Amino acid sequence: MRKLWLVVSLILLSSIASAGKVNERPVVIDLDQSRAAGDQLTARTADNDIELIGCGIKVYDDGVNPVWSFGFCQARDSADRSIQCFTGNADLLEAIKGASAYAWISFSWREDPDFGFECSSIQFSTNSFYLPDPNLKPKEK
Amino acid sequence: MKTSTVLILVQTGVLLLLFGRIIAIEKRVPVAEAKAQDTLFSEAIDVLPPSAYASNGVFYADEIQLRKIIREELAAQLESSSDSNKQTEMVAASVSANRVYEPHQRERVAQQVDYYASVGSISDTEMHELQWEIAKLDETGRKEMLGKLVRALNLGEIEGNL
Repeated sequence: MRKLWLVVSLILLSSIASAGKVNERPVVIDLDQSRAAGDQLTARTADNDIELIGCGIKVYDDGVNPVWSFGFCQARDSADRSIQCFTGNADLLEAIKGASAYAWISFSWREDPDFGFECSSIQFSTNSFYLPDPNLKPKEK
Repeated sequence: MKTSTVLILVQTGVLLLLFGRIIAIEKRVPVAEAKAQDTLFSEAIDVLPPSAYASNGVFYADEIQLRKIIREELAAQLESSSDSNKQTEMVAASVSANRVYEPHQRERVAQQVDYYASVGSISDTEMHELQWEIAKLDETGRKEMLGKLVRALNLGEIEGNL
């Protein structure tokens, strides 16, 4: 009987291993290096309700003034430290357009004396190990 | 006899005076107006009723009929010109009102950011409205005010999301 349970346990363990590599990257903010990183899924499923990371683009056209578009990235770690940066740089805006769900995001910024926290780099990585477990149940509120 | 002669002389003098006045008034009429009237006159001829033409195609509308047509055409053109001017003025006023960037507009946005910093938070709707205000600024103003907003968010002066 014990051998049977051992065999069953081994089968179960092997099935978990065959789910593929998982890479959880909680949100980390390094104020000294002016850099933040983390993956969206780990932030979303964290054991707190403050952690977050993401980027976006906003475009405004009132039909009178020149169209205004800017990109931004923001992050908050489990210690409740937060950072936001913005950009009007065309290349960085293009990079943000490449964002996808379940991505790992990394961004850095520089503090301009006149304009504040401008994004200086934005990176995305969309790998299978950032995807949610197909068997994962939604987090209860 | 003397009285008749005096009256004739006075009448002749008055007639000459009136004639002189008429010539002076005609000289004062602007050339452009004369041209416009010519155009209108030719247009008026085009819209003459069939009764105004003789069988040989030559029109013989009487003066009263022509005057009436010209008056109507002039009135219509003046009204159209007036409407067009009003529309142009309204568009110009609207554009200039929206394009008054600095320093008044920028100062107002700066005050709004300061206000939210004093309150300590900004809702998503308020953030959206604030960004609409920033969008109305010129390039430098937009960058400056967005920078001010992001700085306030990072310093924890304002709780909210971009």
